[in-house]
Amino acid sequence: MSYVTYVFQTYFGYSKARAEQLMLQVHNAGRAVVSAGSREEMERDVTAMHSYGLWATMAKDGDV
Amino acid sequence: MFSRSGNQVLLELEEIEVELLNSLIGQLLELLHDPEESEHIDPLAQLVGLNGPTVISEDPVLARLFPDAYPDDENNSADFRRFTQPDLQRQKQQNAHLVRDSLKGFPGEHQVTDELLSPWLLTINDLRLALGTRIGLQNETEVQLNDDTLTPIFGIYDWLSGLQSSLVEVLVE
Repeated sequence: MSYVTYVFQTYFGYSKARAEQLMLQVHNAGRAVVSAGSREEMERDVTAMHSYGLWATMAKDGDV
Repeated sequence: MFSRSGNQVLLELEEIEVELLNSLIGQLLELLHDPEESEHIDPLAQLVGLNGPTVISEDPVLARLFPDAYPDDENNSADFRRFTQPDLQRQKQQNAHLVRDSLKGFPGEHQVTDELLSPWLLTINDLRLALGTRIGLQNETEVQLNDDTLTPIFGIYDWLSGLQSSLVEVLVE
Protein backbone atom coordinates (compact mmCIF):
# COMPACT_ATOMS: atom_id res chain seq x y z
CA MET A 1 0.00 0.00 0.00
CA SER A 2 1.28 3.47 -0.78
CA TYR A 3 1.77 6.16 1.84
CA VAL A 4 -0.97 8.28 0.25
CA THR A 5 -3.47 5.40 0.38
CA TYR A 6 -2.48 4.77 3.98
CA VAL A 7 -3.14 8.42 4.90
CA PHE A 8 -6.54 8.48 3.16
CA GLN A 9 -7.53 5.29 4.95
CA THR A 10 -6.21 6.29 8.35
CA TYR A 11 -7.29 9.92 8.49
CA PHE A 12 -10.60 9.84 6.58
CA GLY A 13 -11.47 6.28 7.58
CA TYR A 14 -12.07 5.32 3.94
CA SER A 15 -12.14 1.68 2.86
CA LYS A 16 -9.01 0.33 1.24
CA ALA A 17 -10.76 0.30 -2.14
CA ARG A 18 -11.96 3.91 -1.84
CA ALA A 19 -8.57 5.11 -0.57
CA GLU A 20 -6.79 3.37 -3.44
CA GLN A 21 -9.20 4.82 -5.99
CA LEU A 22 -8.50 8.34 -4.69
CA MET A 23 -4.77 7.70 -4.62
CA LEU A 24 -4.86 6.58 -8.25
CA GLN A 25 -6.86 9.66 -9.18
CA VAL A 26 -4.23 11.87 -7.51
CA HIS A 27 -1.50 9.90 -9.23
CA ASN A 28 -3.05 10.07 -12.71
CA ALA A 29 -4.94 13.35 -12.74
CA GLY A 30 -2.73 15.21 -10.29
CA ARG A 31 -5.55 15.69 -7.83
CA ALA A 32 -8.77 14.33 -6.39
CA VAL A 33 -11.56 15.68 -4.22
CA VAL A 34 -10.99 13.72 -1.02
CA SER A 35 -13.29 15.57 1.34
CA ALA A 36 -16.19 18.00 1.29
CA GLY A 37 -17.89 19.97 4.03
CA SER A 38 -18.04 23.27 5.85
CA ARG A 39 -15.15 25.69 5.66
CA GLU A 40 -14.11 24.86 9.22
CA GLU A 41 -14.13 21.14 8.52
CA MET A 42 -12.13 21.61 5.35
CA GLU A 43 -9.55 23.81 7.08
CA ARG A 44 -9.15 21.04 9.65
CA ASP A 45 -8.72 18.41 6.92
CA VAL A 46 -6.28 20.54 4.92
CA THR A 47 -4.24 21.16 8.08
CA ALA A 48 -4.16 17.42 8.73
CA MET A 49 -3.14 16.65 5.14
CA HIS A 50 -0.34 19.20 5.37
CA SER A 51 0.92 17.56 8.54
CA TYR A 52 1.05 14.28 6.57
CA GLY A 53 2.93 16.12 3.85
CA LEU A 54 0.15 15.83 1.28
CA TRP A 55 -0.40 18.81 -0.99
CA ALA A 56 -3.98 19.65 -0.03
CA THR A 57 -5.89 22.77 -1.00
CA MET A 58 -9.50 23.84 -0.66
CA ALA A 59 -11.93 25.77 -2.81
CA LYS A 60 -15.62 26.53 -2.91
CA ASP A 61 -17.77 23.92 -4.62
CA GLY A 62 -17.91 24.84 -8.29
CA ASP A 63 -14.39 26.29 -8.30
CA VAL A 64 -12.68 22.91 -7.92
CA MET B 1 13.95 -1.47 6.79
CA PHE B 2 10.96 -1.92 9.09
CA SER B 3 9.53 -5.32 9.91
CA ARG B 4 7.10 -6.82 12.39
CA SER B 5 7.73 -9.54 14.91
CA GLY B 6 4.56 -10.36 16.80
CA ASN B 7 3.45 -7.13 18.42
CA GLN B 8 6.79 -5.45 17.98
CA VAL B 9 7.89 -3.23 15.16
CA LEU B 10 11.55 -3.65 14.38
CA LEU B 11 13.88 -1.45 12.39
CA GLU B 12 17.17 -2.61 10.97
CA LEU B 13 19.71 -0.02 9.87
CA GLU B 14 23.29 -0.29 8.79
CA GLU B 15 25.85 2.21 9.96
CA ILE B 16 25.89 4.09 6.66
CA GLU B 17 22.08 4.34 6.75
CA VAL B 18 22.19 5.80 10.26
CA GLU B 19 24.74 8.37 9.13
CA LEU B 20 22.64 9.22 6.11
CA LEU B 21 19.49 9.71 8.18
CA ASN B 22 21.36 11.82 10.72
CA SER B 23 22.70 14.03 7.98
CA LEU B 24 19.36 14.38 6.18
CA ILE B 25 17.51 15.14 9.43
CA GLY B 26 20.12 17.74 10.33
CA GLN B 27 19.55 19.44 6.98
CA LEU B 28 15.79 19.26 7.40
CA LEU B 29 15.96 20.85 10.85
CA GLU B 30 18.16 23.61 9.52
CA LEU B 31 15.69 24.25 6.73
CA LEU B 32 12.84 24.29 9.25
CA HIS B 33 14.67 26.96 11.27
CA ASP B 34 14.82 24.79 14.32
CA PRO B 35 14.79 27.01 17.45
CA GLU B 36 18.10 25.48 18.52
CA GLU B 37 19.65 26.99 15.44
CA SER B 38 17.56 30.14 15.14
CA GLU B 39 18.72 33.44 16.65
CA HIS B 40 15.72 35.43 17.77
CA ILE B 41 12.15 34.38 18.34
CA ASP B 42 9.68 36.79 19.93
CA PRO B 43 8.41 34.74 22.93
CA LEU B 44 5.09 36.63 23.12
CA ALA B 45 4.38 36.27 19.42
CA GLN B 46 5.22 32.60 19.73
CA LEU B 47 2.94 32.24 22.73
CA VAL B 48 -0.08 33.71 20.99
CA GLY B 49 0.76 31.95 17.77
CA LEU B 50 0.91 35.06 15.63
CA ASN B 51 4.41 34.69 14.33
CA GLY B 52 3.47 32.69 11.28
CA PRO B 53 4.42 33.91 7.84
CA THR B 54 1.68 35.02 5.46
CA VAL B 55 3.26 34.26 2.10
CA ILE B 56 4.49 31.03 0.62
CA SER B 57 8.24 30.46 0.82
CA GLU B 58 10.45 31.15 -2.19
CA ASP B 59 12.37 28.02 -1.30
CA PRO B 60 10.71 25.23 -3.33
CA VAL B 61 11.12 22.68 -0.52
CA LEU B 62 9.51 24.93 2.10
CA ALA B 63 6.82 25.83 -0.43
CA ARG B 64 6.09 22.11 -0.80
CA LEU B 65 6.15 21.40 2.96
CA PHE B 66 3.94 24.44 3.66
CA PRO B 67 1.77 24.91 0.57
CA ASP B 68 -0.95 27.51 0.03
CA ALA B 69 -4.28 26.24 1.31
CA TYR B 70 -6.39 28.42 -1.02
CA PRO B 71 -4.56 28.46 -4.34
CA ASP B 72 -6.74 31.20 -5.83
CA ASP B 73 -7.24 33.26 -2.74
CA GLU B 74 -4.27 35.18 -1.43
CA ASN B 75 -5.97 36.62 1.65
CA ASN B 76 -7.42 33.37 2.91
CA SER B 77 -4.13 31.61 2.18
CA ALA B 78 -2.28 34.24 4.18
CA ASP B 79 -4.61 33.89 7.19
CA PHE B 80 -4.48 30.11 7.06
CA ARG B 81 -0.70 30.12 6.88
CA ARG B 82 -0.36 32.62 9.72
CA PHE B 83 -2.43 30.43 12.03
CA THR B 84 -1.29 26.96 11.00
CA GLN B 85 2.31 27.12 9.84
CA PRO B 86 3.96 27.73 13.24
CA ASP B 87 2.31 24.59 14.69
CA LEU B 88 3.04 22.53 11.62
CA GLN B 89 6.64 23.67 11.68
CA ARG B 90 7.00 22.79 15.37
CA GLN B 91 5.40 19.41 14.73
CA LYS B 92 7.88 18.64 11.97
CA GLN B 93 10.79 19.75 14.15
CA GLN B 94 9.62 17.64 17.10
CA ASN B 95 9.16 14.57 14.91
CA ALA B 96 12.61 15.03 13.38
CA HIS B 97 14.17 15.37 16.85
CA LEU B 98 12.40 12.24 18.12
CA VAL B 99 13.62 10.26 15.13
CA ARG B 100 17.14 11.59 15.46
CA ASP B 101 17.18 10.71 19.17
CA SER B 102 15.93 7.22 18.45
CA LEU B 103 18.78 6.72 15.97
CA LYS B 104 21.23 6.77 18.86
CA GLY B 105 20.63 3.06 19.53
CA PHE B 106 21.55 2.08 15.96
CA PRO B 107 23.10 0.50 13.82
CA GLY B 108 21.60 -2.96 14.18
CA GLU B 109 18.04 -4.18 14.58
CA HIS B 110 15.99 -2.59 17.33
CA GLN B 111 12.39 -2.21 18.41
CA VAL B 112 10.57 1.01 17.49
CA THR B 113 8.03 1.81 20.20
CA ASP B 114 4.46 2.71 19.24
CA GLU B 115 4.76 6.40 20.07
CA LEU B 116 7.71 6.71 17.70
CA LEU B 117 5.96 5.16 14.69
CA SER B 118 4.14 8.32 13.70
CA PRO B 119 7.23 10.56 14.03
CA TRP B 120 9.14 8.06 11.89
CA LEU B 121 6.40 7.90 9.26
CA LEU B 122 6.06 11.67 9.01
CA THR B 123 9.78 12.44 9.11
CA ILE B 124 10.60 9.91 6.39
CA ASN B 125 7.93 11.55 4.27
CA ASP B 126 9.29 15.05 4.94
CA LEU B 127 12.76 13.88 3.95
CA ARG B 128 11.39 12.29 0.78
CA LEU B 129 9.47 15.44 -0.12
CA ALA B 130 12.48 17.65 0.54
CA LEU B 131 14.81 15.50 -1.51
CA GLY B 132 12.28 14.92 -4.29
CA THR B 133 11.61 18.64 -4.60
CA ARG B 134 15.32 19.49 -4.62
CA ILE B 135 15.93 17.16 -7.55
CA GLY B 136 12.85 18.44 -9.35
CA LEU B 137 10.89 15.24 -9.03
CA GLN B 138 7.28 16.04 -9.80
CA ASN B 139 6.07 12.66 -10.85
CA GLU B 140 8.06 9.73 -9.57
CA THR B 141 6.92 7.45 -12.37
CA GLU B 142 8.52 9.60 -15.02
CA VAL B 143 12.03 10.01 -13.81
CA GLN B 144 14.56 11.10 -16.38
CA LEU B 145 18.18 11.17 -15.46
CA ASN B 146 19.65 14.02 -17.45
CA ASP B 147 22.14 15.05 -14.86
CA ASP B 148 24.67 12.46 -13.69
CA THR B 149 25.45 14.43 -10.57
CA LEU B 150 21.93 13.76 -9.34
CA THR B 151 22.22 9.97 -9.61
CA PRO B 152 23.34 9.43 -5.98
CA ILE B 153 20.44 11.58 -4.77
CA PHE B 154 18.01 9.42 -6.72
CA GLY B 155 19.57 6.45 -4.97
CA ILE B 156 18.90 8.04 -1.59
CA TYR B 157 15.39 8.98 -2.68
CA ASP B 158 14.70 5.38 -3.68
CA TRP B 159 16.07 4.12 -0.40
CA LEU B 160 13.79 6.51 1.54
CA SER B 161 10.86 5.33 -0.58
CA GLY B 162 11.68 1.73 0.32
CA LEU B 163 11.98 2.60 4.00
CA GLN B 164 8.61 4.36 3.82
CA SER B 165 6.89 1.40 2.12
CA SER B 166 8.31 -1.02 4.65
CA LEU B 167 6.86 1.09 7.47
CA VAL B 168 3.46 1.48 5.78
CA GLU B 169 3.31 -2.31 5.24
CA VAL B 170 4.08 -2.90 8.91
CA LEU B 171 1.40 -0.40 9.97
CA VAL B 172 -1.37 -1.95 7.85
CA GLU B 173 -0.44 -5.55 8.69
